[in-house]
Amino acid sequence: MKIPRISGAYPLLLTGGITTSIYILFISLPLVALFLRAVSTEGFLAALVGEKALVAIRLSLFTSCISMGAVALVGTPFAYFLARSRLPAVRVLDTLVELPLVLPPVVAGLAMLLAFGRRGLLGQWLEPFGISIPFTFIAVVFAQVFVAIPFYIRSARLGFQAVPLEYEEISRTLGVSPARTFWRVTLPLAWPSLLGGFALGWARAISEFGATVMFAGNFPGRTQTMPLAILSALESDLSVALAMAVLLTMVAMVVLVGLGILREAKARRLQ
Amino acid sequence: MIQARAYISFAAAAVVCILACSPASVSNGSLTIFAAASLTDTFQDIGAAFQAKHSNVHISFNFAASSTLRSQIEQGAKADLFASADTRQTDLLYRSNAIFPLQKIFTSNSLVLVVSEHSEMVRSPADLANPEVLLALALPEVPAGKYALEVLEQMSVSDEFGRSFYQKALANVATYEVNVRQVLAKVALGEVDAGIVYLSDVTGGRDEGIKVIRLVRSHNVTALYPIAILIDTHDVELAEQFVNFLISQRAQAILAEHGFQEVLS
Repeated sequence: MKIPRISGAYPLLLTGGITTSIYILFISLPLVALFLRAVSTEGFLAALVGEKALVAIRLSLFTSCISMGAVALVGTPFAYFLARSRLPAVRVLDTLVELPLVLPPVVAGLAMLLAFGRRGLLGQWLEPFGISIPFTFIAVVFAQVFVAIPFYIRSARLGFQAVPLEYEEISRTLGVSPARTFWRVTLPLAWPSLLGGFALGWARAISEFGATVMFAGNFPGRTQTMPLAILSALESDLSVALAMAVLLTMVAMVVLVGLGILREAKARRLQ
Repeated sequence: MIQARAYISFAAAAVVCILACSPASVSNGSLTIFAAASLTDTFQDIGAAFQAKHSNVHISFNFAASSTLRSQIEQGAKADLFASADTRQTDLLYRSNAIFPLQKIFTSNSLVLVVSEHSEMVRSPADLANPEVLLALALPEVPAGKYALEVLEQMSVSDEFGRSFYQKALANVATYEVNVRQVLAKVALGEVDAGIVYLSDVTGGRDEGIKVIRLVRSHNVTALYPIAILIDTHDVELAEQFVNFLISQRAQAILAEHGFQEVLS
């Protein structure tokens, strides 16, 4: 095999440069347009700190935190199991993990209504006990978990798989318990992947719309998260809708950058 | 080499995809009609009837809440005609110079109470204020939601329901759906006990899983449906032909079939 000369890499670099510029334009132009339009709209600042936006962002942050807590709690052991198990059934589970990714959120919401709704497969048995999930913030959390968990599990699984089995074995031969080995060896090595998946999942959860509007309905302060509030505001007041869109984008950027920095730090410590 | 070939076949596949997906070329005029969600089935039938007379005309529809459509038009969406479920939306568009001033009221609609077949909670309109009833309404910002609130208000001012009826009924609202068809869906699924929708929403076989309770005239409101031609239309003549067709006997009969009421003008 010949060692490629530098000049031979030029077409590749050029292609990379062009596609990168196209990508940046494609993604940033709509965002720039949104910001420009928002700041030039009358009443933007008032709407930014207005009651409607505050109620919605509070609900969005509250529900997405609970959702991601549940995702991490359930997703981490599950992803570890998927990564380490050699059972043939794991392939079936794999498909099940990825299914919510291809399902349109509205379909997911409808399916959840049919399962957990008042007349639902499971919901009808909960109803006599006074437990009703639809139209509550729990329904919002359900919808968010449903769409966010695949991102986390996929990423966490890859992270766990990248941890050499020998490390865990060595730790155990030194007399460290399996649980402690997981905490002290496996988890620290997989942190960057876990955080990456967490960030993606959170982003998906906070932007969740279709499943929420179907399963949780739209009620300010109870189930009306930011995306629903934006759509509702679009029906009447563009400035409120724009302000909330900008607010959501900014909050999302702060959280994603924060998680990114944390991830970098964890990754650096591993080197 | 293999990579290059793969790249070429990928590009070829992309080209094929794009060609396959591009809309069929349109000849002899086309109309893009933005219409209120409540007109969905009716306008599809009317569109078919119009095309039966004008075989070369291609009609495409965009159905959504009238207020959504109004925003889309304000943001520069291309359309020829706008049929709204209330005159507020057309008035707003007229003020922003997006439509011609002559809007035609072509039909009207009234509201009904729909109750889930599975629910025993609501047997008459008075039950809407009972505790633990779950109610779905359209967003107050969309016409159907605004009308629904008006209905509740009218009930509240009448002696048989009492002043507190309005507040009690509002306290039972579980969700404000983004359009009127979603209200119907939530009731049909049995997830809420009742909802307020247009009569036209439950006429013509769209009443699966629900019971319809008519409202007395004094509690009801009349929703007027205007149609307007957009300033940016690329074919005023064809747009006018459609408006004329809409007030013709043929189209009015289709509207009546779907539960709309004729307006005398």
